[in-house]
Amino acid sequence: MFKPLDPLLHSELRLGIVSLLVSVKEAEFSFIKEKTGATSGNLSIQLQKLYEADYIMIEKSFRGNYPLTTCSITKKGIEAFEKYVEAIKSYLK
Amino acid sequence: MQTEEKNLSHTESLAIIRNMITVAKNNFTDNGFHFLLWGVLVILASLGQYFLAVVIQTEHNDLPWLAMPIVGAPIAFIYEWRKGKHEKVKTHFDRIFTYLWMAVGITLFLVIFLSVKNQMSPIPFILTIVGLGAFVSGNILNFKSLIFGAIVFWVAAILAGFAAPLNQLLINAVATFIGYIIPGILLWRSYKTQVNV
Repeated sequence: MFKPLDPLLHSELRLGIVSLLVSVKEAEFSFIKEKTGATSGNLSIQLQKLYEADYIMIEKSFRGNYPLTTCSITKKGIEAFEKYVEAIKSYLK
Repeated sequence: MQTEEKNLSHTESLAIIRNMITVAKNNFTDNGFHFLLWGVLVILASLGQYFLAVVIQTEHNDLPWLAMPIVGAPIAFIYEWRKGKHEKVKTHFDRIFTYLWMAVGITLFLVIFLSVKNQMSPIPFILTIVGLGAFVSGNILNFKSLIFGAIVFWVAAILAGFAAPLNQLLINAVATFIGYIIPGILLWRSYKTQVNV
């Protein structure tokens, strides 16, 4: 029986963001942008969607005079990611 | 990576996951700064005490050990503070590393205090504990010269346990050179190569 795929994660960029955040404790916006190769605008939109679903935490602060956005994965995000991986596996069997 | 519009195949999904996890994994490196800093200071303190005890023959020959944290701690603190300002990502390994060396530092402080209080030389115990730190770090970083260094520290700990106090200082200096300085230089070089790629 095929398991349904979480539509929020079944997108190239959002899956990339979550896979990256699952592997680290926290990452800055510029790091995620560099590693995913996304544009700032698109990345902001996708991060917001993940944040609204409680999959990630977004912390806004300042470093010197510059705004700093730091992201980390939540417990709900990890669970969703694990479910997604399980679902993908069921399709590939 | 582009927008969400593209329909992902299952193999593409797996490739993205694998790719991003590899990116994050490769991001954990160490430039060996602390191994070099503390390695140099421990060697200077060991040889300094040996020199003061054997050549100058002064009773206050343990002064280099008191000077060591006074010199090392501010340098290490400033370095970490400056590094934190430029760090774009914190990995889980970073956290393990920090807690490991914090535990090693606290244990060393207690062991030195208790050994001195009981009129024992702390050097064999220090070598045992730094061996532990080097062994775990070497395995986290997958860096063989640090694991080899840990074994050298442990062998040196046994040798120091049977040696006269002044000879223990020489054993400590040699073990620190092999266990900290050589891996520190190799880590530094490997880090520079990675950064310049």
